[in-house]
Amino acid sequence: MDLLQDPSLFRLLLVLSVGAAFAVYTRLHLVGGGSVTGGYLAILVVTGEWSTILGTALVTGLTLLVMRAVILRVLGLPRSWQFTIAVLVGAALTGILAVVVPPYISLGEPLGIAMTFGAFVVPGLVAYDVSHQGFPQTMLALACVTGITLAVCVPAFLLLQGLPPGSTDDAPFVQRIPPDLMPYAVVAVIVIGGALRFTLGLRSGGFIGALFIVEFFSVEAFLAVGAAALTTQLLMWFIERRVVMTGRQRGMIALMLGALVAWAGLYWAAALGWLPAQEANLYVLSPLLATGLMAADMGRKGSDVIKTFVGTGLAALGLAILLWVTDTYGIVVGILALLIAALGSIPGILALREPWRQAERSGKARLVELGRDTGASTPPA
Amino acid sequence: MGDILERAKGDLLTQQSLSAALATAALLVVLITWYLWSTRALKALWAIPLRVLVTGTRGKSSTVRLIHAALTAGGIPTIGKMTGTSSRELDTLGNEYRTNRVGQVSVLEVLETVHRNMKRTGPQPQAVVLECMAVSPDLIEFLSSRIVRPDVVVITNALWDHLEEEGTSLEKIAISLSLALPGAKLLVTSEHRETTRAVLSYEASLRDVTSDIVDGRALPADVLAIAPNAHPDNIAMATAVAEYAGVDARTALEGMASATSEPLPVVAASAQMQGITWTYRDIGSINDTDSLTPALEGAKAQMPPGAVVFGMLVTRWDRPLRAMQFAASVTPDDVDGLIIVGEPDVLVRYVARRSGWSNDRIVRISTWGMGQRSLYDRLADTGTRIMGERPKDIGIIAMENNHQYVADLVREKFFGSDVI
Repeated sequence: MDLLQDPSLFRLLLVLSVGAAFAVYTRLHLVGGGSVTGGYLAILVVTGEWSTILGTALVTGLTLLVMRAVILRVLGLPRSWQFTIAVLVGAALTGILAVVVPPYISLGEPLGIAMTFGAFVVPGLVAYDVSHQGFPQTMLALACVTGITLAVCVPAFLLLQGLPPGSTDDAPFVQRIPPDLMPYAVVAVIVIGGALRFTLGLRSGGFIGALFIVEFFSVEAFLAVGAAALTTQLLMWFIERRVVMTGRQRGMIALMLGALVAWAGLYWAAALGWLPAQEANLYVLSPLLATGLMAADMGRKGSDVIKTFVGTGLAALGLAILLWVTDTYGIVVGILALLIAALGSIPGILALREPWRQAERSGKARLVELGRDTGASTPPA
Repeated sequence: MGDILERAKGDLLTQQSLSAALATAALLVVLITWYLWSTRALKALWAIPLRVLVTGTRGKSSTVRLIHAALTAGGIPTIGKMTGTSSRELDTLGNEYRTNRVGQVSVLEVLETVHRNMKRTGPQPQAVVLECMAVSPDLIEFLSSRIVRPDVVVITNALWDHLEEEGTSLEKIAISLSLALPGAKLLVTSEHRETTRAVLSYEASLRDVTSDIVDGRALPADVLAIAPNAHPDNIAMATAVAEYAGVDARTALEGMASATSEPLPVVAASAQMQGITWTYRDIGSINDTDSLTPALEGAKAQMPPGAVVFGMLVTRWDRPLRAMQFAASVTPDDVDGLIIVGEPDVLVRYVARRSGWSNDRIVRISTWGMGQRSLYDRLADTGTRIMGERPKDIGIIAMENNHQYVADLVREKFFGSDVI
């Protein structure tokens, strides 16, 4: 039985899954791989993508192994770095799996870009949560969020089945990132997003914002997503003055609200005959996620509307350049270009040295108080 | 325009529009439910006339217990909430409850405490004492200004800990902790360092908050004798808060004498294995190197004479700077050997070697206890190498953090599962 006759049902599932993640976090203080992982898994369940679920689990395990056996042991990094590295490792391992077992994810458009993105980032998100929260807790959170989402969605889908799908537009479907370059694009956008964050303190719409804008490749798309995110942020300011929310709760509400604003905006803009909106509407989840994640980034501590706009714009520009280089000169040159882009993180890495030095100095301060030799390499503060 | 309305009208009863309606309803349900629940808890919290928020680096939980006891003794029904290593709640009758956690520590626990207290018997609270579980500056500010809105803020001290979040100098740490101050009327602190104390006073004055800087060292011996298990600074701070609430010092002190204490092991435990007497002492609740010396000396004094003593660094990957601090601070002058559990162990070993440790005196046990079975064998071998003969006594002093898989197993081996 095909439960999902209309793409809008996927959108409903996405919003409901974030709502379920909000409930699980608020009630149990548990997270299961970010806000959208439960929704991602629920979509894989209802579409019967069992091999992808298996692949996601496999890569999550491998990512966790790499994190635990190497990265967490060697690198004394802040949580934000560990998070980005976990996502990057997960994406890289998924990329390898996608090359070895093609097609790793068989869902084509209109879900393709969001689900491919999900397949690449979810292992890292889950592995990170397992690392800091614990395996049983993370699995419990995932089971709860996915279970609640399915428990609400499946009856809703059955009820809606008897209704007509709704109006559609005749806009041509555009796909500017070649499918075979999608793994490269996802890894690249994480690298660029990380460099922007750690070197310039800029957020880039939860990575997928930039990816979607490049996929769509137009200034209009960027401005439309930006306008929807800004509208969401204005609504969030209004809500935040009345409702007490932690940062994580705020992010989830912004994601839900952003998705709804984008959904409504796309509908009416498409109805008005605006071609970019009609084209964007064909991407079922990406514009909703891009808007919601940009809005969530706008409200984070240390971030704001301008920084998010600039960050997302720069990430999109960087990704577009890398994709052009790769498309034109081949994957080897593309990987070299990606490594050069990764050098953008160097100022951020250098900035980590001072806390390390200070930590060692503060440890040695005790020895100074005791009148012991502290060694020449680390003079006490 | 007519076409658009016609299209919208045609879409009214479709999967598309009803999906959107259901999604909107989901958002509203989530938001309104949370709004109603949180508002009820906040109103109940803000209805309590005296709200005290206790933050700082060391001694928060003990200070909360002392303030609770002091106010209760003064006839002010008080509820208390301790967090961190062992999360507990105190009701207005002085009963203690464990806070059961499924997931992570969250500032939302404060609201849950208030909700739970609404259902408990006993007089209505006239005061609440809450330990600040927030560590990052933005969360401290959020907890204080949006949730607690305290009348009194206690900053126990500003020491070298939580460098990742609060800053890498004592001044920065003090400024981060001061984010609890906005809206308060009184700051009580027992910070000893003059410069850090000056920062706290300055931050208080910027926000029109009166500072009350106390010093436990100034308390007479007969006062300290009333609550012999409490730290003098904590007694001084609790007395200051009680006096602010109108409770005289003598009554407050008498109340403090009956204050409960942390369910932490404060004594050493022993076990016989492989013909060796093993002695274990846990000082893992001391997370800053400022407070390490007296705790470490006290723990060493509990070890049998002639024992080979190992310091067990219980490291956490999300606290790499703390791991580096301890690795730099604990040297062969302190203990005979080093055990490293948790991560980032490679980094910790590197720093430890810079502190004078050689590899043959370092024993590493991996994350999930792989090799844990051989821990005691390996320690015995290392002890033999250090002593030149098989030791009769081996001591283990766990430090830096309380919880980690291997560290918990070792603690359980000596104490069972009754403590933290």
